[in-house]
Amino acid sequence: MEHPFQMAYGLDMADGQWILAQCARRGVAQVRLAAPAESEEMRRALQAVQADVEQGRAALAVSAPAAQTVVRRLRAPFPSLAKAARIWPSLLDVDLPFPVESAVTGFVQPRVVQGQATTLAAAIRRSDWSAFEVQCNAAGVQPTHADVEALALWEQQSVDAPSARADASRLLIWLGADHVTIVRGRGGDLLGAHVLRATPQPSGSGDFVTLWAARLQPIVAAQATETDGAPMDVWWAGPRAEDAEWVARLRAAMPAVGQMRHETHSLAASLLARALARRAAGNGGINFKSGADTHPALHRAAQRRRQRAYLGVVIAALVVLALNFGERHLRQRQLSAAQQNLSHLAESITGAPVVRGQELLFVERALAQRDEDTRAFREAMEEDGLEERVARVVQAADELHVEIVRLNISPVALTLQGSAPGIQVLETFAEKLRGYGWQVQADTSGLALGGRPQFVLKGMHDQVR
Amino acid sequence: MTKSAERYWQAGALLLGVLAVAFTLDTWLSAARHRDILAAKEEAGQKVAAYAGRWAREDAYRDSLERQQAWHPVELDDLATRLLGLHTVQITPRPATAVAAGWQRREVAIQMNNVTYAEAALFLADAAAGLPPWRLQDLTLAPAAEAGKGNLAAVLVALEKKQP
Repeated sequence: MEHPFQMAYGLDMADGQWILAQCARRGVAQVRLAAPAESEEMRRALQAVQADVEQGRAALAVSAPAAQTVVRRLRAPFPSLAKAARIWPSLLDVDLPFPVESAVTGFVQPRVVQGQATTLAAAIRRSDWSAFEVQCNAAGVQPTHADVEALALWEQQSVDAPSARADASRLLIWLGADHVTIVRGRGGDLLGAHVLRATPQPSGSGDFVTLWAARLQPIVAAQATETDGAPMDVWWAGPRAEDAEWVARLRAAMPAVGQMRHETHSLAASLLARALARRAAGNGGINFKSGADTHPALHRAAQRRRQRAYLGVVIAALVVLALNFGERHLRQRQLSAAQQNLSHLAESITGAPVVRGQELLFVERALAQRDEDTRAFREAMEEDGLEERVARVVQAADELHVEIVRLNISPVALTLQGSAPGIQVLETFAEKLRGYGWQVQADTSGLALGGRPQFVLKGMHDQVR
Repeated sequence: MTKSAERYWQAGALLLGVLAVAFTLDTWLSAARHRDILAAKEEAGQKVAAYAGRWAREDAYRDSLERQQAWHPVELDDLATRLLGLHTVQITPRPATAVAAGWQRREVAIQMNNVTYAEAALFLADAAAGLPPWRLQDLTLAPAAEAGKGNLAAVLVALEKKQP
């Protein structure tokens, strides 16, 4: 889990001269103090750092002893990172000079290169790790991070002196206080890390140079082979790299393999401290102090974060629940208001309480009853009553000299039997009746006395059709 | 925070989270149903509201009758005697039916023999001119033995209210 530190410190505990660097998140690592380990200044600075660490605000990173740390490049023969994660320990076990079970291990974030999952792994014997922790405690240092020196140096080099070419052959020689670390690679990729458990001493003899030349021969040869003999950039760093005379002697003793270009880092002594601070600030790199070895302050900080997360979830859930209840309450009120309105309207028609949900049924029943009750009033106030219709029919017959023999009329139907002066008149009479709303059909049935055509008109009124 | 306390927090957060998700899901899924129910109730309300003024004319007419104290239609016997002379009209009352607010619907069958159309029309028009009016429901006109006259059978209806 990532720890959001406000500040991260890197401490290079090289011999008696310690270097403390600091780096804010996404900031640039800078040296805060370089002083003897026993100095009051360093003691106070470390006290302040430890106080911040205890509060969970800061990280303190050191490097695990380089001489006891093994760095290996691992490759899985498939591109699945998830599957590869399950076999990294087994692959590392094959490469380690000790069983992986008896080691503290760490793995860099893997990536896929040319169809193979690839990672860098680091391991240190559990016994060496415990001894290192005891040593740290004795020195009054309780780090939150224990990084891998070679990896930290390699990464910081690409920050301090980015490679001009992506495939440039590079060699970083860290001349530490009690050891030399040689990290080699191509572009940003680390190809190998090697440690010499000795270092040039200011008053030292030429013995180291002999050892140096012997050890460097296979390393340089491997680098030349793996980079196809590309020109090699050799970078010097470390507290001993500030001694130009020693660097010159070591350069001279290096095997002459291909073309080499030598450079010394401008902030050579603090490269490791700054690397540790920067990687801790960005939660990058390997931290051997994880799992059961995690610093208690980190445990507490993680616990506080978890607690805040739980609280956040609880609060968010309560807010969501409150919103839901609010929505439900609102809906209930809307339904109640609509129901109340409906019941009120329905009861205004039925004149009695209605069963909820059956308002329309009750209203329709009441309507049918009320319709019947008011029918007589409608009949009484009807403007075009049956009397008027009869009067119109009789008047039309009179105007056209149509003689009505028998008339039967109701609001619905009309049957009229009689005789007309002629067929033409009968048609005119029928048309007039149609104009009054009677859809009649004429049926003639011979001649009456006097030669008048007899007829029967039958039809329905428009209002009932 | 102890391990057990952390477990309680974890369980509580999980429970509340699940409840929140479940309630949200339920609220979201039931939204359409709620809208439908609400729309149905509002639609029913609008329908019922539209029915509310359906008998305004009838009610106004009844109020008008009551305001004018027009409780009974004209007596058809008197009208027939006045217009056509005695015993011309045979009136047969039918059972009255109760309608709204104490009013009843009276129905009579009338038979007028040997009357001219003009007499019949006059009688019917005068009966309809009263308040409450006698309205014609059915009419059958058949020829009478005497030329120019007929036999008329009709059904008339009128409103009536027992005087309050």
